[in-house]
Amino acid sequence: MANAREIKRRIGSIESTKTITRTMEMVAASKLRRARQRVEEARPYADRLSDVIRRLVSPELAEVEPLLRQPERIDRAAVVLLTSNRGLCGPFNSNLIREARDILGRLEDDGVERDFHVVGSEGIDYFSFRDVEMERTRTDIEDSPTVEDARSMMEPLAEEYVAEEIDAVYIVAARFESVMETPPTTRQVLPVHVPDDRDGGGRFYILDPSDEEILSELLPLYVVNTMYRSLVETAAAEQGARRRAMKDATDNAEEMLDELQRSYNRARQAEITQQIAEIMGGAEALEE
Amino acid sequence: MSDGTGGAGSRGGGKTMEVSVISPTTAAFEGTGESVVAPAHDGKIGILHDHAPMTVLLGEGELAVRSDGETRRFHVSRGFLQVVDNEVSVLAERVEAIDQGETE
Repeated sequence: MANAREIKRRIGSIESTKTITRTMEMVAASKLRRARQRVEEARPYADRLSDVIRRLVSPELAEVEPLLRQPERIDRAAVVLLTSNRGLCGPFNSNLIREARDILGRLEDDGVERDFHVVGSEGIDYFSFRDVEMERTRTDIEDSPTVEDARSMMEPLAEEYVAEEIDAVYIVAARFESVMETPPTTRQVLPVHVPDDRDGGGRFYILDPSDEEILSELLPLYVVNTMYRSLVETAAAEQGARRRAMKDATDNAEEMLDELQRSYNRARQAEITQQIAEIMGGAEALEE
Repeated sequence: MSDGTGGAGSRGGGKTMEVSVISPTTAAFEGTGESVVAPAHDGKIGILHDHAPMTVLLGEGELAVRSDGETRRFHVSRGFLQVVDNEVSVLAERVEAIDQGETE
């Protein structure tokens, strides 16, 4: 059995690890609160925007609007993977990476050329270690992504799509359903998929300017907003995953401390018993 | 959302509308308003109670919402304004509140 001093030293080291993981847990919890709020505040805009677009789109407009172009065949597609810049968040990044590998594999099976874009150091490290070719990489998206971030990512892709250099754009990101449910998801951004349940409200009244002009202004906003939502949802999911991972680590540390404390007590007791036995033995030897 | 004064606008004395000003990051304003002046793509447009249903593209400029005798001003760009049944929704990618009192 390890001696008491050795155990004491380990207890000290686990104590300090626990302090760190607990602090990280609390930091993640407060960041999660703000990130969740951003996810919720993004909803009304997204809902209304897609509602208006849904009501503006007609089969005739779908023919002329370049962002609504439905390619007959997909020859080249862009896949944008969102991961975090920092680790220590459990299986968060590996789940996203697996989802990205799945979609890349499926596109490859279908004979589609792939432009692979990766956001976040964790994803970039993984794929550069495996020599996977990446078209563009970014590590400058922070904990609170902005609409400008989304725009700067989406605009070049939309241009390539309009120029028919690519035929589809997919985003692999976390979907924030709740703190516990943040499954990795693949969203198709382009071509824009317009749900065709047109029961809500029907056609419009006064349109200024024409429906075609309004649509061609709003579709880019919609596409950027899809990216924005993916960014904020992934950011929130990351904080949720980190909080959970750090909570598990803290709990584990506590368990280990309990066990070590018990071993320490036992070792200490054994030492004392031994010392008493030695003293008794010495005393007996003197008596004789 | 409705406190009985808005909605269809047939009840209550005030001729008001439910106004919301929404950006991707936040709802900058939600409440009752008496008038809205917005920067449309081709010039200013004013909305009062019982305006015909309309969807109009916004340009860049100042949006003014008159609510409870106070005028709230915002700088907006890239978006649209929609009126349906005395509900006015302004959606814009950028919405920034302009400090009160600075203008007039």
